[in-house]
Amino acid sequence: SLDFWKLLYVLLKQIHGGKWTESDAIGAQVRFVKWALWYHGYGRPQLQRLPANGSAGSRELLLAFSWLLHCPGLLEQLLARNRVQTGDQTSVCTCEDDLPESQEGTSEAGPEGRVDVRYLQWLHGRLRLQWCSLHAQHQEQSKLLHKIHLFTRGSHMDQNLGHFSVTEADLIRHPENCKQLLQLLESETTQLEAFLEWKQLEPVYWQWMETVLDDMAEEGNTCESQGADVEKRRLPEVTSCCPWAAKLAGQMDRLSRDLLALQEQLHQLVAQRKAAWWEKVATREELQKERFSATARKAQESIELKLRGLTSLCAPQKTRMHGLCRLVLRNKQPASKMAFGQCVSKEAAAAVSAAEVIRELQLREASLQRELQQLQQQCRTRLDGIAEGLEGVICISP
Amino acid sequence: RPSPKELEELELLNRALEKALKVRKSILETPLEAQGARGQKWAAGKISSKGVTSKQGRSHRTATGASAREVSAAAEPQETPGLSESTPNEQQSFSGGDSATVKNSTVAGKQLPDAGKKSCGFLGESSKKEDTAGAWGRSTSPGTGTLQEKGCQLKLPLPYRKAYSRNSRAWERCRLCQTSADAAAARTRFMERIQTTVSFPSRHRLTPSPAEIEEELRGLQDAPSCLRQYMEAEPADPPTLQREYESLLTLEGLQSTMSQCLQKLQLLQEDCPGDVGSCSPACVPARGQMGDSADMLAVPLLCYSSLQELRDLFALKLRVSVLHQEIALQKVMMAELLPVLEARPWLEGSAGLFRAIHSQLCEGGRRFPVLVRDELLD
Repeated sequence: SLDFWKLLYVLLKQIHGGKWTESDAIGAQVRFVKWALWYHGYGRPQLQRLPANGSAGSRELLLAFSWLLHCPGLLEQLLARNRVQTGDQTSVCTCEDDLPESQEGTSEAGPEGRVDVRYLQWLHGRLRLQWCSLHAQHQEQSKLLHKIHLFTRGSHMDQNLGHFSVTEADLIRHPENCKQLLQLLESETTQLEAFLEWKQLEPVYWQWMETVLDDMAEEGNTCESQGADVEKRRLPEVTSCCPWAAKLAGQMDRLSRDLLALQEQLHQLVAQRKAAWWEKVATREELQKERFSATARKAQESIELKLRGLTSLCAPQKTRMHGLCRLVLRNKQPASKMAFGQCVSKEAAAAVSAAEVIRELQLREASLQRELQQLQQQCRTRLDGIAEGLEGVICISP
Repeated sequence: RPSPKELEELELLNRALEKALKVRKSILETPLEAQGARGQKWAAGKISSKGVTSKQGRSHRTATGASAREVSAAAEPQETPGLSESTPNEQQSFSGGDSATVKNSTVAGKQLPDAGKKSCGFLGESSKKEDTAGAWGRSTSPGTGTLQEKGCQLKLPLPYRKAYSRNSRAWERCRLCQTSADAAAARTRFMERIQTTVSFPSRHRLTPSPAEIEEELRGLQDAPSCLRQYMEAEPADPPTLQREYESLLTLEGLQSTMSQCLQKLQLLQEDCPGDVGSCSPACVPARGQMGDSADMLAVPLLCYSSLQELRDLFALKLRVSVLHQEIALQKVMMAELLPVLEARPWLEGSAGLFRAIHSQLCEGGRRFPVLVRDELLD
């Protein structure tokens, strides 16, 4: 079973964050696998009770593995994540970047363990400088990408794409470097063919899994009634031990505060407007006549249309894209004349427009900006409080 | 074979250039040369690989290639193209000295003195001078043009085209491949049985997994900004009665959306899983696409239509990332710095400390408060 734990660890790590080493302790591996399975909704308590040294549980792990095949679609995710990149990829995900796991206790403390605040200021300044220079580089990169895309239009054999990526353009210059890329592509094609074979065999696999469950049932291994045993600890109690849960709880709290505050504002505004409106209705004849109801209906329709974009906020989420997208330069043409050249696919690949992504990013930017300002405001309040306690000094904020 | 004298010249020029420019080569650039790349087995490449020592010990750089990039980099210090998303290390030599011709080197030999002046304006970038970078290493046809002129006629190497087609056909087959009905049925039965072995009596069956909860929450996070945007878009004083009515309807619509959002959030909070069995410090949420597995097998295209859009996209992505970082920093600083001020008594010299901390925490380090002595005239 040790190997099975390790296998699951490696596979799950690829989906969850990507960095692992051979030397990761088995205890840590086991904990991670248990957590990841819980995260994906695998609820069997037997799994959680397996020993931490990975010495037992191969059958339970088999069940868990089968769960993973379906629940986050383990195979598909692995294929997608490890895909060979031939294009200019970028992600459209607005989620927070995963910070690399840093060591605690960086060693910049002075002789008595004190840090000069000027050092902090300096570091912060340097960080800002890096951000600026990164911005400049990105802008430069986008100019060059655009040029390559623009100038190689019409050359790509995949008419869906239409132009070369940087990698492909470089192949022109150094065709002898093709080899490595070819090898990667070939091995990926082999993997894909293996995947197709798996799909053929799938019925057999699931039937087998059912027999495994049957065996377990016969052995009386079904879980004892959990009822009183397992107490459902609600999230707040759990947050102390799990950073992920803490983060999630924090996000929920913040979101709820934001929404409630906004709701309050909205209530007031609506009340105001309503009052004004009813006043007008009372005083103006034309609003009480039938004629207005036609206008009213039209207004309602147009507003429904306008607000349609909002329904997506509450609807169950369509799959948001966290993965990579290939950047493609394409004119805004409503009727896309796709002539399918050598590529087999008859369906246009899923396409997202940059304008949409930009809009989402703007929303995200606004929301993050607000969060930052709230934090800063908190600080201001607290510091003002401190300043008031100071004798003989007045603090004037900029 | 190029003559020793020409090689010497080449070497001297390279060294002079490198010294003069001192540009760190950490960024890749891919100046492209137009078609006929195969004919460009650059003889001097092999020789210069001994002569030129690059800063990073990459001794395979060709003289011309190196000087081209370094010249352009010096000419435009701002322009450090960060093509880091392409495959790494394109700075390979023009390998193979076998197909050298004397013509090759003489052409190069004459071009080199100009190298210092010409930037790598191959892409029509920055410099206004004519590009001759593409002409380097070309044996027969001088001035075969820039990428701009010839780009649409380029063809990828045949082996690549074949491999690419095979690969994308395989992807397509995988994407379209459906789970057979038998398999799907058996799988559903299996999943259900797994679920039933987990008895949470008070919960109905279809509770979302933590992954799903997280995903739903992410969707909601933009709700306040979005709603606020709509709210602020409504004019304060609508000109006509019709507009006023529409405005009112809009606001009411927003209200109902708002309450739906709050409801959804509440449900999520309730659904929040109780039983976190084990926890690992490495809990990083999965960033895969939840939902239909088959959709994962297609790389979606991100279509942009103009340079400005691309630039905005990159700028915004960076901005969002920077904001995430700033927020994280802010929290850490608050936790570390505020206690410092709150605990200690006010010492005479603390004004500076107070100002510094205030600026870091409240103004992002950009502005400073003013501390004024409060001296009343007695």
